[in-house]
Amino acid sequence: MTDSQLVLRSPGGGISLRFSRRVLVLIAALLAGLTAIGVWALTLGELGLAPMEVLSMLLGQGEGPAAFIVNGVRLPRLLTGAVAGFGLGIAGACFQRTVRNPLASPDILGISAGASLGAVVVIVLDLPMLLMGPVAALAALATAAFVLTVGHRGTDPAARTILVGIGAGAFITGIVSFAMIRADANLDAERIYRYTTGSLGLTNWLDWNTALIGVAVLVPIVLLLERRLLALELGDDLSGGLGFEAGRTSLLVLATASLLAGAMIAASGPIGFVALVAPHATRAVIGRLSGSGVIVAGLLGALMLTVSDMIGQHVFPVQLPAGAITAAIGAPYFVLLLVQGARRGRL
Amino acid sequence: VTTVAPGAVASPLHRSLRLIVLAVLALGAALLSVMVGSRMVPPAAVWSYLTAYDPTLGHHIVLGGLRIPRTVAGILVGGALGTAGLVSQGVTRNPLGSPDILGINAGAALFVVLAISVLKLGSAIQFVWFAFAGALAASLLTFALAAIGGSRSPTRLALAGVITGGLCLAWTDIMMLMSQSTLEQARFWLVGALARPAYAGMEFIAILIGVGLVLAAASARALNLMAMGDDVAVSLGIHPLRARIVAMSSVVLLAGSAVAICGPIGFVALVAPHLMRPLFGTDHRWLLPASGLAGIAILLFADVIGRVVVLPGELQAGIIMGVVGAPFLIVIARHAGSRR
Repeated sequence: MTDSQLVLRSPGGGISLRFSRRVLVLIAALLAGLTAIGVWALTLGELGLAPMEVLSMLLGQGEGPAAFIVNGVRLPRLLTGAVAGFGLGIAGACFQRTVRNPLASPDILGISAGASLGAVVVIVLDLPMLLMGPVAALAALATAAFVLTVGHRGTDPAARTILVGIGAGAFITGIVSFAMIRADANLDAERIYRYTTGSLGLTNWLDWNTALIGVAVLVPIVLLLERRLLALELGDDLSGGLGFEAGRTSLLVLATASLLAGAMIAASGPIGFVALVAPHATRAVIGRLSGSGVIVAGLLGALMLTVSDMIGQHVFPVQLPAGAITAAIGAPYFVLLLVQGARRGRL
Repeated sequence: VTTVAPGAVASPLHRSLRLIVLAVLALGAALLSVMVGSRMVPPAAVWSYLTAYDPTLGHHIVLGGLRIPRTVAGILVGGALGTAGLVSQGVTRNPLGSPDILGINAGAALFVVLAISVLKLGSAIQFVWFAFAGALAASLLTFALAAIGGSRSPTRLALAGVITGGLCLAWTDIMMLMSQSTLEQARFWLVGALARPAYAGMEFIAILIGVGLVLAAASARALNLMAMGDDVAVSLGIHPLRARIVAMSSVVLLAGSAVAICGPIGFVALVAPHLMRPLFGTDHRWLLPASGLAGIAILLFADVIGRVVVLPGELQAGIIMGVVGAPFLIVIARHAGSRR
């Protein structure tokens, strides 16, 4: 390795990430930014606090209602948003990387809707909340399998897949709306609402656990597969027949990314555009999505969702769900990106 | 835009019969729509409403105050959307080229919500103009996005429309959530509900829809000829650009009017023409009335289903259309532009 690179290797070398100095600086800056914004977010609200007060409460030194508000309400919301954004950014990067179309992302492909339906089923059937993450993840996987199987054919398979995904998403969203209206009379409606728009409004520590476990289990698998994919693409692994192997690995990447998106959505609802914008922004900044680019996309996703939730909570006279803000920011950004991309012949 | 095997076109007599059957279906849907709901109205009461109106009778109050305006709204919107879908698919020569997929409905909705929340407008007569402006702006954005892509594949235009639609929807959501009063006023309207159509001014919008239908009818021949390619159309005396402008004006008028009445109901415009092509072939002179009638029947049936599945509540027609119509999108997207 040249000395301008840092290489992180898991024991046995299954996962190995190379960071150029530029990417390392970027990651450090993103982490610092996230931390600063996180502390700032904890100070905001009806009960205004000073950053130092927040820090001491985080260290367990505070007492009374203020400490409860920080540690019991604001912190789980903040952390859930950050982790969910991280996971969504990574899932989006995986889709961007394997389905060759700038619109390919779990939200556009209807996979987020599938995960939401899974979560709603858990609520409606009154299953244990612990099942929320796994059920949503599996529902996301099933939706992805359907959309890719049905759509990936003929001329222009990526575009076709996306349209099939939009159809699947519309269908599932209709069913979720149906469940929401059925549940109108009882408390379930409020919990289902999260799965119609994507909101961090009711998050608690259980959601944080769901998101964290999803990231902890699935992101290493993504990185493992990512390494194999990279090796195949670079032609390092001469033993494998490139086309078949790469195709199979790509499918595994997509499957893992779908599970990851599903688990995140169980915690945050179907937040749109994070999985779409974060990978594009990553490519715009560091020029690639492979390897450590996946991590950068995750951090940008975390930043986007955290900031969006802050805007939604504090900027307007009414509280807006984070999903509305990510969409409002993401959609125009995306049109701009697309105009640039289309000039280069990629829509 | 062909989903029909050549040579499978029925004779004019058969097509006339099919058109009559379709009209009967639409009429039946209208009758159901008048009768069915949380309070059922028997056919006899409908008859007596028409022949011997009595403003003190409960059934007559329900009919006059709720069901009949709602059904009229459904007929206007369904007919407008079915026709707009056909013309739009014809003009773009794209099976996915309906105003809902192209983001035109969403654009109209965004402008209407802006009119409600920023300009505090309240009646459909006022915001129908915004619906037209939004429909026009969205269609221009979609065509521009598709054009810079430089590709002519039917799926690309649809993707451009999806982006436009997503953009408009996101901002519509924000506008609505920002202002509680807008939310109250626009919430039901926006999911595509016929339950509370903007009754005031419906006659006026009906006239605008009539103008849209006339423009659509005037485009039928040009659409037939342009389907064979612009060269053929030119040699037969069609001015393609002029024909496209007339046809798209009709789409903007029809889709914008429909959105102004009851919000952006999806999939009617996509599905109705596709259901009609196997029955009527590719001749737009037959397809136009057929798609309009099919749109009416589809939307009214969806609305009636929505009224009975969650009694005593209601599911908006837009939600039903999402569940029923989305599978069509999947099938059409799967086959669009494939060589047979």
